[in-house]
Amino acid sequence: MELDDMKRVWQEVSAKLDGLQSEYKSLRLDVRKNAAAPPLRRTGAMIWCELLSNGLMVVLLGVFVTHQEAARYIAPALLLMAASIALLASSVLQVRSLLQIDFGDRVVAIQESLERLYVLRLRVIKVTVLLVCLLWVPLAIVLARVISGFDLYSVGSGWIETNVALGIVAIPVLWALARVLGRAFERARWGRFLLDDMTGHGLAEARRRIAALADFAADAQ
Amino acid sequence: MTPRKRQQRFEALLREHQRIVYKVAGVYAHAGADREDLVQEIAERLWRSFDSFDARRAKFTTWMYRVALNVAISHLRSAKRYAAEHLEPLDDVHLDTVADSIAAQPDAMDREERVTALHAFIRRLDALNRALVLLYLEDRSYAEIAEVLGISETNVATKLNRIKQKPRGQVGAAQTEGVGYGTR
Repeated sequence: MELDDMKRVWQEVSAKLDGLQSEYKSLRLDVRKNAAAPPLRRTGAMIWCELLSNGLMVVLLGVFVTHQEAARYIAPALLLMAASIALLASSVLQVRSLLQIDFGDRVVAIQESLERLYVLRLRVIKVTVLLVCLLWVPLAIVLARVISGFDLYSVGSGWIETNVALGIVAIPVLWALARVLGRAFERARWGRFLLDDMTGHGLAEARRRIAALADFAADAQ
Repeated sequence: MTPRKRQQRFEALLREHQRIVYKVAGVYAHAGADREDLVQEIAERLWRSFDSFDARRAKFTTWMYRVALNVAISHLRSAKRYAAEHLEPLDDVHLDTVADSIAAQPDAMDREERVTALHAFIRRLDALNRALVLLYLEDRSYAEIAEVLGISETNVATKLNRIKQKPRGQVGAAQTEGVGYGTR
């Protein structure tokens, strides 16, 4: 069947369906009753939550730093603050991208914007995992001080050095684990996608889609 | 315009052109709840984007196709749908199967079979080529297809000519996996 034959079939069926109003349940605008999640609603909510939590983290660490005199507490707090500011900046970038997406714009352009936003989010996930591995010791020092007033330095420098080393070692271990578990979680949506994000499969896939979009938009020869 | 009047105007336009929503949902989602979900997603996104609609820049139907296709492609791309709809790439074998099944009994084939073959063809196209073919089947002009997709008219003509000239297998070069995007 040629494409023009298909067009005739399509129009025949369409004409019949258009004649039967009952085939199209009268489409009503009922946002409140709508249980479906439109594209970007969940992602958008997460981006705004991250913006708020990163902003809050910067403020709280700022308050902590201004109330400390000992350099041994200020140094880890400043490290955490630098990481939080970087994450806050990424959240601002994501919010800006999100607000620029207009679904009424041309399809190729919007799909490319969505893929670029997705790439940005994947990078943030990877960086966040990396930061958690590298900065969990300063985080533990600050949290112990804030919550119970406990001085983790009193445990000894050996504890800190060992845990920093463990954090560094954890990065390749987590990466390898994600690759192995990725297969095991093949059917679990969230598990699989989080692990794909960590190993970079998700990023590679998104880049492939961006390249394919550019290819589709390029004038055919 | 008051918010109430704005909503009434939107609802009137939506009712007038609701077939577009159903057609797009029909080619991007399976029947049943998934399709109903997509119809509602499109309707909601149309309403949320209605503020950005400028009649001087585009016809309402052009804008509606853009919103509907953008939502549908995003819907198709989402992980859940990817798992459920993991379509095989359209290659020579797929098209030959469709074409051969039609060629085998050209006269005996009733409309239902032809419709099934048509849907099989559409469902094996990747997201962007599916949009291109849908707009063509909907008898949209090349200019409007180009406006909706954001590619040149020449590109639209070339892609469609390739599909028209090589319907039995050679289209494979223009497709990738169902959820992915096509290449030239």
